[in-house]
Amino acid sequence: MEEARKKKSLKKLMLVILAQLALAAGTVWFFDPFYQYHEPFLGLETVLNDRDNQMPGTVRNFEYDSVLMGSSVAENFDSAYLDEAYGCSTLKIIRASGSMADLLYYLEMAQEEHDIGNVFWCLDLFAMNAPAEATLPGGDAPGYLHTESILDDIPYLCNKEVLLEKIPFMLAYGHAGINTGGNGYNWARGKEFAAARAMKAYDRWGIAVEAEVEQRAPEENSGLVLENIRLLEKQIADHPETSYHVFFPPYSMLWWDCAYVNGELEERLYILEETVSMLLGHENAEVYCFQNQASIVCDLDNYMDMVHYSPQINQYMLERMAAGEDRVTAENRNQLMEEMRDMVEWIVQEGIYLYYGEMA
Amino acid sequence: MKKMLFNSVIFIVLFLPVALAGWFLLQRLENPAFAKLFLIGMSFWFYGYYNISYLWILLASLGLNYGVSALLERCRGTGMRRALLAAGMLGNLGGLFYFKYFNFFIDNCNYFLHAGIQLEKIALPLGISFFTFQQLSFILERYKGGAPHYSVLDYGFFISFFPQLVAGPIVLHDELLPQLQKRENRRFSAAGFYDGFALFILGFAKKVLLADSMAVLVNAEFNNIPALDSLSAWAVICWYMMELYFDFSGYCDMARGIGRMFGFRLPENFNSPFRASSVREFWRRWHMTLSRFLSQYVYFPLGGSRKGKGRQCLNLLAVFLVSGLWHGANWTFVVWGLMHGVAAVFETLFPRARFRWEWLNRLVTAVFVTLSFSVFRSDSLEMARLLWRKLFARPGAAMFAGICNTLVFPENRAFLKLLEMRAPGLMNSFFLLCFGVISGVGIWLIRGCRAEEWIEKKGCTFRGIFCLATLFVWAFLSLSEVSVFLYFNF
Repeated sequence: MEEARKKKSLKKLMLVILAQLALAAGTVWFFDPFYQYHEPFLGLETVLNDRDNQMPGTVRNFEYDSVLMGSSVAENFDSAYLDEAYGCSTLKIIRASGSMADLLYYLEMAQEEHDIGNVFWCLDLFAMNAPAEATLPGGDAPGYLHTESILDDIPYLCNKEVLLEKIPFMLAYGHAGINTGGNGYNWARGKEFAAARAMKAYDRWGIAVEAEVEQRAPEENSGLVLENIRLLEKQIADHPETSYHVFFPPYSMLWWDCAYVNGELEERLYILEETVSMLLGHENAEVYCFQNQASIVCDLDNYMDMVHYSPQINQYMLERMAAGEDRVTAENRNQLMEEMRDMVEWIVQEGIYLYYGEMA
Repeated sequence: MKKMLFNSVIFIVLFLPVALAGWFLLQRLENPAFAKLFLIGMSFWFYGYYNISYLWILLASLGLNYGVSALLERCRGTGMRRALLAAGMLGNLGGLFYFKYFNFFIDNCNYFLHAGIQLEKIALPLGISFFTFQQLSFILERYKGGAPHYSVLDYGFFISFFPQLVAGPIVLHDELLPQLQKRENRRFSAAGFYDGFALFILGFAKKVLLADSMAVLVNAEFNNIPALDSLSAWAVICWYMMELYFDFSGYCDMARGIGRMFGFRLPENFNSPFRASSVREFWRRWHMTLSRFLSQYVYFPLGGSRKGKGRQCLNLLAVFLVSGLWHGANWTFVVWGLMHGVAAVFETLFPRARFRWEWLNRLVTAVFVTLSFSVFRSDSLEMARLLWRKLFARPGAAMFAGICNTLVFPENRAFLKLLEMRAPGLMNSFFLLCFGVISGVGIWLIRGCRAEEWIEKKGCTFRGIFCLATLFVWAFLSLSEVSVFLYFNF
């Protein structure tokens, strides 16, 4: 009697548990905030607001024929502008560190299932002497994000945080038009771009201002740089059908001054020179440089810290590239390097003190 | 490194179903050895999943004690038997001392004697205190003639049975092994399975939904003691007491529930401890299997209450000192144990020093226990002293509101975001409401009936089934990050 009653209860309990789990998992599958399975259903807006969790899914499952890649400084680009200017459909691929190996990991994932016509690569100088091994998949990233199997997706499908937080936020953002369209991953909302804010993030008072800082020879640490350049070169050479629009975004004068203070100025200029030199050797690669644009770099009102500039600068770069301006060619590359050296010399000798004087 | 906890996806989705299916399928074979061997193997997987090197320590401990038991079986001479027992105890306590207390000992030598000895990096194997005590009790019983020499499979099963392996309850041989040997226990019982699963769910929910929610505030504020005022300090220690209770009793419910699903009844470890109206009664209701062990193997052998009041008081102090040290290698545990010892001595010497009203005795006991456990939770005696000073500092509602602001969970985050945008002035009130609701649920459960009583009364009703299913799913959905049980390091 007792056995039969409990047997019946056990069946009911299992059924209710399975039904509730199916409801939870079905809801996650339907809204799929990490885009692990599909693009949004029923005309729901695509909301890109959770970079590391959404990246693998969007790369695998979205329809696109071009990619815009880079670090956090590339997040505020409006990729819709590229779609219009180049007649393509662009997906943003972002890795916070801008790591060459990690970005290539995503790019190769994209190339497996998509014919990529254009790669717009916002290339960070600081990423070129970072380790050349991909950190993905692995590290802190949940493994299920990087596999196509649904069998390891329990932590995603049965996840309170996804169900009660990610989905409502996605719906609310979609409704409010935040991080939708070409503005996926845009973080500029509510941020202040001003000289005082940028200077707060940088302080060189520890260094005796009159002292001449000895700069390290670039060859001392060139191993990683050359390895990263080799990775990039291989990618370009292996995909002759793809156009690579590689551009160097303008970091603030603080970044260049910091390089000087740390004795890394020659290393950074070497990275720029070597990378440009390699890129110019490939017909399917165009190079644009904004690092030498003193009117941007030396106006700290464009920045919130050493490297992060306002969305206006992002838009400016896209417009210039679309118009074919600021392109680096074999003919003007020496001039570019001369301009860079002149600008940096002015920054460390004079420019930076204008701001310190202002702040004092 | 990841642990396979009862509250982890891998345990619930893979390990437990495989272990149950294998156990009951192999029980269909005539020879029960296959099923036992299978479950011993699964238990080793469970234990070694966290760190395979710990498995060797467990195996060495098993080998030592089984060897002592086998030799005791052969030896008849009292002197030889005594020597074997001494060797067994030395092996067990020596291992426990090395892994758990060696650095504490060296640290104190360095402090008091300025010895300057280098500390060693020694990892504490999971649940070593539990399986050491369990085996100590076994060889003591073997010595006294109260336990037979079991087969290697039965003994291996008794010690390694995974539901009780890492955090108890401390099971005695005559509780588990007769059940293992009973023929009717080899059959699947829907009633036992249902009761076990229901108990597992209630423990799972207590741990994941309540203890882990409270841990968010408790952990944040135990790292922030200098900033606390009296109101917030009291809130923190009360929540820690509840967290510890729901964490450990939740774990024990899960362990006992899993045991029941396999067809075994494991002993109870908690019996509404906050209904205790004295410290001695508290210890008859809290971590009951440890209290039982200490009574049987420390208190009674020392003479218990048979040798006069003075000796009884000393025995009580000794028992609570051992209890304190068993919980951890830190002076905070020693002081915590002694606090309980002194309280027990006081109750023994002045049995009439009680209030007329039972509810007041309960309240005083609960306050004492809560205060003592704040020392238990503190990283050092200095920290405990600072916390106690804060308990009697000037109250301030602002700080209390501040500590409640840590209560951000997936369940309330969307609403908080809405409040932040629409009515930021109401956010503090909302956090206070969250604090009130969680505290209320905690107190309601503490005052409510025991889990098994509830299952018996309501577990099979439609509402009960729906409630169990919802709790399971809610807790399961909360496992995206696996939390750690507080009692694993003891």
